[in-house]
Amino acid sequence: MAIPLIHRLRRPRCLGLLLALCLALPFLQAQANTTDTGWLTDPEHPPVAVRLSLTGERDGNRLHALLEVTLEDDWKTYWRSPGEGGIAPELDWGASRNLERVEWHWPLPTRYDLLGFNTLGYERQVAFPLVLHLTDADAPLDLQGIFTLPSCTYICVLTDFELGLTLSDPGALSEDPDISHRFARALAQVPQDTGALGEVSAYWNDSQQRLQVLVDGDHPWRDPDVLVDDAAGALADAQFGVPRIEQVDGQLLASFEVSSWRELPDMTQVALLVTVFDEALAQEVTVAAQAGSAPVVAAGPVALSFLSMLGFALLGGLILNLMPCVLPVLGLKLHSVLAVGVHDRRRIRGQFLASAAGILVSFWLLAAFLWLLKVTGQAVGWGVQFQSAGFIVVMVAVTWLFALNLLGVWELRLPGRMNNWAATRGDNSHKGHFVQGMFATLLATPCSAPFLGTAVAFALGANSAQLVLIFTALGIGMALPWLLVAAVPRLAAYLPKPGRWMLVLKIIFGVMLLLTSAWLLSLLIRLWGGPLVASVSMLLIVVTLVLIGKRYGGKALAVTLSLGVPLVAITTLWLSFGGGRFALPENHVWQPFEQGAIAERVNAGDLVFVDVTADWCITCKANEMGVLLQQPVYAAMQADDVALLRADWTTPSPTITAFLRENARAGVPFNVVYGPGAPEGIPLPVLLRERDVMAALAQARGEHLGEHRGEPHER
Amino acid sequence: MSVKAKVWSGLRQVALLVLMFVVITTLMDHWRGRQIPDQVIPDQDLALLDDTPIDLLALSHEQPVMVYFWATWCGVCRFVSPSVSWMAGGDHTVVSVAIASGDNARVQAYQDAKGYGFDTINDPRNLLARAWGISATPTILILKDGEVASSTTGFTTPVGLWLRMRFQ
Repeated sequence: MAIPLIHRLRRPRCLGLLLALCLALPFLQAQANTTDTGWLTDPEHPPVAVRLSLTGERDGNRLHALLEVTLEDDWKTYWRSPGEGGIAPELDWGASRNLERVEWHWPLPTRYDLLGFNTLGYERQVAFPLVLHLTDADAPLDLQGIFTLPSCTYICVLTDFELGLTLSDPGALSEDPDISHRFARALAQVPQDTGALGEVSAYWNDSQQRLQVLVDGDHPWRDPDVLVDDAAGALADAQFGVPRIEQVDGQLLASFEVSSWRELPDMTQVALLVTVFDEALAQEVTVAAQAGSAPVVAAGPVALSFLSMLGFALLGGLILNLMPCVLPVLGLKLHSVLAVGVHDRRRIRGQFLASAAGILVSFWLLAAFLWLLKVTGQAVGWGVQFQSAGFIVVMVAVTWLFALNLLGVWELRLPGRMNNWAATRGDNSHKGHFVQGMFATLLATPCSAPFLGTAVAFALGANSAQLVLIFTALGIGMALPWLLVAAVPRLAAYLPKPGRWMLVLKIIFGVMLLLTSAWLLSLLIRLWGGPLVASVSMLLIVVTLVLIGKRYGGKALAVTLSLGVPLVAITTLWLSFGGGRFALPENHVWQPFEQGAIAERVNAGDLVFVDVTADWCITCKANEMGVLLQQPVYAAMQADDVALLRADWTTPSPTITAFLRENARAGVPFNVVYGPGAPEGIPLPVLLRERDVMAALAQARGEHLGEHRGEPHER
Repeated sequence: MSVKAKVWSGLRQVALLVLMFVVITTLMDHWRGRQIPDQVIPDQDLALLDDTPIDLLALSHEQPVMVYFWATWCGVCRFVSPSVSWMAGGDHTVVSVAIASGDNARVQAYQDAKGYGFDTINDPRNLLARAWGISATPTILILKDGEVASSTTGFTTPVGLWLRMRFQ
């Protein structure tokens, strides 16, 4: 990065350095080497801090230095080729003496979707390993640099840091083991060419403006990604976007749609730097592109996986209708049809379409909300709302009031009244039905975690268009039964004639909703503590009973009590025994999650199974009961060399959120296996399957699975 | 309700929403811009991309001048630049400062490609912005009579910009 020396107007902002200098002044003659700038901050932009330190290692005329950057909150800085939405940090060493050049190594960046632009950068912290080449290995070094660090959230800030280190006596350097270790760790994050990849070739199709990278060789790819840039900066204004990744005959094919607001250079003349990375691999190789397309027939499995995710979303939305929180709304709606009479098809059609629209709009609102959180770089995930006591309280209130309404003890019927109100307005107003749809979606939120979790986690990792598509699919899925009735209003005619059964059904729905309330209340235990939740529950139960007694008389109250008390007792017992786990073995003994413990155990040759879970996460429970507590997984996890760590995300925890983010997950459940064979960890799919867990454990242990992979390829 | 009445009531609701949006964004804009930097604008010899000299201070004595600090690499600027370009297309005086965005030719090419019609002073080394005490993009200053009359940083709407210029 050769930058002409410019005199700038600068304020003294290296307080740390000044302080260090003042303290060091008396000793300056004796101890002439300053090897650490300390943390430098700019009072005008406090969220970023920078530190330059020498490891003290010397290799001929080369010195190792580490440039560390920390970024608070959701501030991000950029990779060397960040894409159109970013600018690389710069270093200007022009004022230095006895410095020939500096090698700057860039750790593997992360993809961020910033305001709709795919951007490559770093969040929270990044450490750049630098190799300083001295002109004269034994002469004093005066290192004077200006580090221009861009950082962006919804605004962008350029901050200049003065980095100054002097070595009067390079010979007196001694290695600082701590900095050396950090240097080595940072260097391990830098993609290098160790020959781990097979042959890498690139193809430029000029008419389609498409660049393809083909990686040969039988690597067991898990979640590969490819970056392309160039050392000379010829592609600085090219936008590569997220590639389509396919695996064809063991080869990896990445296809980029390349665009630019400028004319692109002749891509076949550019020395491309291709970075290929996967969970336990990061390689950078230089490739020259050939004209034409890659000589493989792509199958397009990635597009398929998005399609299947859309399918999941559709199905998840549909299943939501069966959840105790939502079923009553659909049920009531069908009632209203019966009440109105099934012959007025136009009217029924209009009403159900309006409700479906209400559902769809609610899901779009949710998508917009998540998108907003995402582009502003917040940590989001489906289910985090259950970490908020306020949200749970509101949902308890809504479900409880609605349950009472269904039980008939509450005269001010919210949906019913809207129904009537809408009905009195005749066919011209579909507002009431629209609101019913939105209300159904609102009620669905407590039950949505298990079904939406997978789709939403995927949507948050995808781009904005995919996010909207996924949520549209969720909405359409949930609206399907409504749309079905709208399409064939005759279906409503097959329902039994209105009568006593409707009252019974209403009471069943009411009880279902009360159970939902109880479940939501149980989530509050973690946030409020048992005694408070118990008192609130008692209060709610008493109020419910009093209302039932008032509405239906003492006889009904007695019936409710005689049915209700055993029911509550059984439910409590069932819940306290972990919900239907009678047939299951005793749960694993989990150790609390501690990130430092992972490497420690792995270094000792053990396996580490990390389970990130939360009380409100029903998928987590399903995984636990369906896989982790079943043979043969149970026995495999009980083995002596397996450490079981559990991270509880029931309440907000910055360390767990950070751990999830490091693994590019938006929420729970998240399971990952570490071991000597997989020190970087093998993340498991959201929905666990026995064979995934068993394979991951074997792979982490270093056992070779699937020997058939080793067959040589015919060329 | 007749079809006409329905259309009218729909339009009324849309108008109401738009009005609310405008009021809220304007208030927010105003709230963000209330801390007017207490600064003296340095008197510098500046030139536009085509080397035409420009004296912002002198201009600001004639009419309010909107000075827009942006960069080709700034994500939010993409959402603000079209509004600024629209303002420049009207009868407002708008001058932008492109920070650390490369040489004149590159900035001009970028503006041509994106259709931004405002005049630009290039600040490839971030010196002008620094001298003016501007550390973040996008930032919009309104200069009047040689002083900063108001400023805002971050996303702003065309309506907010228009009101800002109108009521100086």
